[in-house]
Amino acid sequence: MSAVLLLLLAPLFTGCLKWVKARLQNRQGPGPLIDYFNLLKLAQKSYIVPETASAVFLLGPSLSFLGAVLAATMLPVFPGLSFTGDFLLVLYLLNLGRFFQALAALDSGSAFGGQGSYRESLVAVLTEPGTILALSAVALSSQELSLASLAPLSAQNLLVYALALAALLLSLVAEGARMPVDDPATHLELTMIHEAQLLDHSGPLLALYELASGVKMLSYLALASLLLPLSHVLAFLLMVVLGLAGLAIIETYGVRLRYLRLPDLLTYNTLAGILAMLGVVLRFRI
Amino acid sequence: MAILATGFLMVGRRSLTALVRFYALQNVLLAGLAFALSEEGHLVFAGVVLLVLKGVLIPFFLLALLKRLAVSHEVESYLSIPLSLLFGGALVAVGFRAGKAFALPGAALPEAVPVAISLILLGMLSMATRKKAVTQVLGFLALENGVFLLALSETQGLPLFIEIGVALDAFAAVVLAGILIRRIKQIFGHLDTARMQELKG
Repeated sequence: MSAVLLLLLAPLFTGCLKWVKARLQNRQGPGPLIDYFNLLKLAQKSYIVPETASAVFLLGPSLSFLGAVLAATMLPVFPGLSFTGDFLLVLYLLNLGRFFQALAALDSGSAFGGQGSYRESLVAVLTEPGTILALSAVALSSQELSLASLAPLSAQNLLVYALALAALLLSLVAEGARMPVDDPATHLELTMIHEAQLLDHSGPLLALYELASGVKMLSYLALASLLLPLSHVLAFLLMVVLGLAGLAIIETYGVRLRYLRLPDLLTYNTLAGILAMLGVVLRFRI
Repeated sequence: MAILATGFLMVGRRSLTALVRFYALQNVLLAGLAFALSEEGHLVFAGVVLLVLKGVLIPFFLLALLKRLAVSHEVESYLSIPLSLLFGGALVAVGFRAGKAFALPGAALPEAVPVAISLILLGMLSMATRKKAVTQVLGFLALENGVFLLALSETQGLPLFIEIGVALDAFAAVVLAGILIRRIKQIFGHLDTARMQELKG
């Protein structure tokens, strides 16, 4: 259920993001539905495989798409698949997609693909510990190791939840390749991180990638929405709207960080994760 | 909690003007807390003093100082930013662990005591690791804020004279430090305390 919802919503989300951003920048911009048409158009085109590429080149987009969708099935936006420890599986399924994406980009044999791969791998390395620690801390503090049964927000776990929320939002920005980390609208290959990996994929392969990255962003928003003291669906919708507004504002008024300064930003993520964990273990309270 | 967040942001930023703004924000938050806690009159007064003196006057003074010295960016540090953030995290953990024992039975806001201790430790961290004299002053001010928060949360409100005395003390310290920093700049041509260790004969 949640996977279907996220799949259907993903193009709307990215489209809306483009639309809101255009309006904030006083441009007319495309309508919010643009990404549905975009995906349709891409799906009908043929694709080109580089001469040097092997089967991994095709595996990359399909596995990154599959990973995102499988992760989405386990998100309890609507009650669905749920078991002990599923939060770890969700995060690593999302990361599995990224792993194959990096491999496919390396496989294409172009210099930019490799460059994008190593950059995105660094971002992944920097984000992973914070995200895992934050979610584990939340799970530990609610003494339930599955996403569907996280304890609601209360005065007892306010500190842990706030820290985890901060960590998850930072990883949303990093994993979704959005502004302070990566600029999705750049056309200069040298500054690309995420986009550089997709340069050699065309047609349906590109469509799979685009859809996967939309689902991925929505998955992180859904994870963050689990921490809010509302019913799951309501919290998810609220989080999506907030995420739209936040991302659009950051990408209109903010600037991208220099690549070498990324560790400075992403340490906040790790820090929040560590503090959340310590908060649970040592029972800090505010 | 937001106060603690500003403490962390102060450790994490390099730009000096941003540091001063975060310091001002921290003071405004502290003043808000003082207003929220006040039942009798004089905490309101202390809050107003805090807001005017530390939220407005000191930041403006520091910004003017920075402008006159023409330094604004790239605070140098003995530790890299990620490392000092992680150190800050460890210090905050220590502060929370120790802070629980610090809360007195009759404390007005026992939850804020660990935050105050952590803020003091974070201020000490930025005093110890940063190289520029201005940042060390800012670290001192953050530390002083921690002391104020501690006083605010532990007691039912200090006597008014002590509050005013502490606030004026901080202001005097900043003015003195400002003059000292200007002299350092005039004599040495830089503000880097790490380079001041060689003797001049």
